[in-house]
Amino acid sequence: MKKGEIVFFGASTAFFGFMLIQAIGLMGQGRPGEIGSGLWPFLALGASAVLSVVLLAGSIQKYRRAAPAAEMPTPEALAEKRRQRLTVALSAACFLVYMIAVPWVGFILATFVFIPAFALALGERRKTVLLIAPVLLTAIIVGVFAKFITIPFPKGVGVFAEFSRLFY
Amino acid sequence: MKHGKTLSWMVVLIFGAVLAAASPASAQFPERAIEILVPFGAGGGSDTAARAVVEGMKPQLKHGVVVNNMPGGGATKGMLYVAQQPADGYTVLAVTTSHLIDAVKPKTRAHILNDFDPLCRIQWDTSGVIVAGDSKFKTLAELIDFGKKNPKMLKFAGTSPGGWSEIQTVAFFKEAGVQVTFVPFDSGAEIKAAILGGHITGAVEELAETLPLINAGKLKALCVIMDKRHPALPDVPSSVELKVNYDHGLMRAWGVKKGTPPERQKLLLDVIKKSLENPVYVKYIQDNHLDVRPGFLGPEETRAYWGSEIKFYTDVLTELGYVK
Amino acid sequence: MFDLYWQAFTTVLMPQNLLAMALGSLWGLLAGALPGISTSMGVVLILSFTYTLSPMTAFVLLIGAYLGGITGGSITSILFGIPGEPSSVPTVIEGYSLAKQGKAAYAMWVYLLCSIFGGLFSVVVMIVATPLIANFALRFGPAEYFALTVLGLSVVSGLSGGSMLKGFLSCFFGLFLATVGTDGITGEERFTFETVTLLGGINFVVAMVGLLAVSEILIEAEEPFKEYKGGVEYRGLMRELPPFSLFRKYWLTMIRSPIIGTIVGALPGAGATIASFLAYGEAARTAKHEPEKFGKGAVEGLMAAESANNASTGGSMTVLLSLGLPGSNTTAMLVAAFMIHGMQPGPLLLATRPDIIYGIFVAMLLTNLLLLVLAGTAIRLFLELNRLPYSIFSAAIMILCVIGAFGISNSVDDMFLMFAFSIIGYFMRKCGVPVAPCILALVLGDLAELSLRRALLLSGGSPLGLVASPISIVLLAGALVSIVYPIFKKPKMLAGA
Repeated sequence: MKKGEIVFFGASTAFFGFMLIQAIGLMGQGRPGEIGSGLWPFLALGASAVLSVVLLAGSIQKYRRAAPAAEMPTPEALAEKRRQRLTVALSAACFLVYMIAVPWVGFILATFVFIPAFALALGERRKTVLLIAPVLLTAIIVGVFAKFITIPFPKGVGVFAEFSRLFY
Repeated sequence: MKHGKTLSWMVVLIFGAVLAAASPASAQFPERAIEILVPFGAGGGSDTAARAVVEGMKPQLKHGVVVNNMPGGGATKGMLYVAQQPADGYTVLAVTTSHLIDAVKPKTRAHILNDFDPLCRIQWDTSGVIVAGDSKFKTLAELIDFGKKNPKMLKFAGTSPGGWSEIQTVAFFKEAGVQVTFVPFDSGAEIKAAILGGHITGAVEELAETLPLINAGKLKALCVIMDKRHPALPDVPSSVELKVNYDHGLMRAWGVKKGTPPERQKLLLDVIKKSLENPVYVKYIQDNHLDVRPGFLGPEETRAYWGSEIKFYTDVLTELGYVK
Repeated sequence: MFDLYWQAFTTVLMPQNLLAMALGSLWGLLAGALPGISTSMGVVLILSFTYTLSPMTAFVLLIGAYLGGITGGSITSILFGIPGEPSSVPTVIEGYSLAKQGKAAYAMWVYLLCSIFGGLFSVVVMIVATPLIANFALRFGPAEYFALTVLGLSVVSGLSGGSMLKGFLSCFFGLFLATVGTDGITGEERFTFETVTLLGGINFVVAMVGLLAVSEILIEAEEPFKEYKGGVEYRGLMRELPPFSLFRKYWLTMIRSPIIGTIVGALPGAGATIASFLAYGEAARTAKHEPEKFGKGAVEGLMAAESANNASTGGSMTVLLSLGLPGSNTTAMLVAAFMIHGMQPGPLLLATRPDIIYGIFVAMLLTNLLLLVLAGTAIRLFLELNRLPYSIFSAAIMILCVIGAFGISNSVDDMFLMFAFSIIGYFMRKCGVPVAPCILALVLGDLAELSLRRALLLSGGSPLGLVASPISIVLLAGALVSIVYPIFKKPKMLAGA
């Protein structure tokens, strides 16, 4: 993960640096006699940026030192790593698509589709589970959260809203 | 987004037939629950007020009423939410003075007068100048006198910086010729704790919530901000009586998105009007002294009142330098 | 005095009141345990049923919902890693780690016993020393609040795990996140980039659910597929009962945490969340037995957080009943309940309606005992969920996270914010940056900054105002020691292994 760390701390340095510039714009806003809107975020961001740079330098150094000695990973380990990344990326993507879909197709339908999709992404292959669980889980969730404690979930647009209203 | 659309078409095909049969021909409004959007968190003054009115609305509407809290960004987030809903009368916004002050600011994202139609004003609250019970100031005159000699040494607490609480504090004292330091806190409870603990001089606050502490002698009201004395505090002079020409109070009203069909507005107004006579609500406003000044105003009067208040806050905010 | 208690007992023990207590507690447990509905929302929803009840029944019901909610929040925290309430974050950090090690039932017992102990402790303190606690709470002005939050933040080194530098980075990131939104002193918009979503700031439940719960699922997704959740094969709840020696071993934490909880709970604007973090931090800082376990399933941390969390109820109620000041959203709803029944909570209430005050004392005592049974049963049922297929269990957690993020202010934007945090949390964990300090700073940051600026406004800009009272000097000195001490003692920790 050494390369990953370098990317991560590089990104965090960039992020905090950008926010730091924003914070400078806030300096000088404030009530007379107090430190103003800008100082506190400036200090927090400044410290974060400095720490990010230090950690970035540290991980680059470690990477350089470790590079020559590093062994070539076995093909199995590489395949395993690729599988891990794929699973994480797939499940995160499922989750994102789910949340994008909720306002458009409504909570109930999106949830119903999300459950088997996410389970598939995680590697679930049992047909009974994939068929029964979405129905049961959606029913329980809509029953408890939308009906019983009346959380006003998005119902979707157009025809989907009509559909959602049949249930909650 | 694209995925959402493909999915939509699939589902349209599947459920289209079912829905064509299921969706009823245009029935009478309302054919589902009315949503009251309170742009503040649960448990606050606006929320409690809305819920008290809703108690009386529920029995009148077949499909019921739901209260939906959407706090955030002063009261902006909830207001924008309503502005984005269809103008069909199903979403009602609980409007407060915050929205009027918001309308003055150049950054405003939705304008309460331009984007909404008022249904009615329901309450007009009264504030008072509150100090600690053992404070060295016995009368408003002493306080003003000290303030004039020591500008900015009077520290007054409030909520919502740049919002209603600060405006009423600063505008009141400006009218009295005093410059005070306004120290914003997060909630009324914190303010009262700070006054009781002697950390701050006092606050200009809505009276109802402070009455128990005033009656117990822990806090003291130096004046009530209205044109006559408050029945719960007959010994405390009013601001107009003390020649401080300022009697604004916190307003609570309800509104719908502009363009909502007039007959639906009328129906909602009738329902609300009727629920204001509900015993639960009447008891609630009596207990909280919200009936000291007549709160109810019809739609047109409310619009005119909003207009004049916005004009007043424009002047105040310009003078304070919040708006250039 | 004795008469009043006797009378209160007989009133509270009337069948309709007992029924109200049971229903209220059950509802509270449910509201606390389910994401998307907070304790205060639970109390609001039940409040509309109390209009027609007699005052005593109404209060018994609401007290049940309040205490039940505070208690129930931790069930989902331990089992799913979703903080039901912000105050349950330490419980997630320690309790969920324990559950992953297959000790869910054990963690549940510790949580339940400590919660009830904390709750009872604070009720007793409240009955004995109401005026004392209330007066002490009033001595906290902005300067003292600031000192308290600095002390709270100073435990970051104890939460850092491997590298202190990474811990501090996480902490400062949290401090920055806390500044997003409308500035509480000037009303200025900070880092909102003209969006409305960020105007109200980053809600910490949204951030927490993303950083803790969802990122955890993503990390777990890397592991090879398993058919069932597994790892939680408990042998019957009674057999997992922790031995008494456990509590004797951590007696200091068991005494100190409820005291912290009661006092901090009494401070308006601080409340249960800060109480549980402070107690947890104190435990992490002074841990004698196995300090290295903090963040990876330390029983002591769980005990501290849970007993402080529930003890805050007594503190909150103390200030509510003696001064009429609600310290939190939930107790604000109780003020509304008083108003509905024609009473005004405040110093005069004890004189005008002693029956209600003593009734509430008694109801709080009995509710805590009842919760031991009810929560015990609920835990039994919740543990059964571990038998679900693993993939479905994970999907359910994801949906609950979405509901949790959405339910805070019924906003779709919050869901996306939560997603962003889950991705950030995933990469933070992958790079060994602990997420706990970030959440701690996000929770305390706002109060720290605002009370600092309030204190400076009050002192006319002079920093001496920050150390003008003995309370703030003591608290700040404690913070200084806890930051400096580990740096001298374990300089290696700074760079990390």
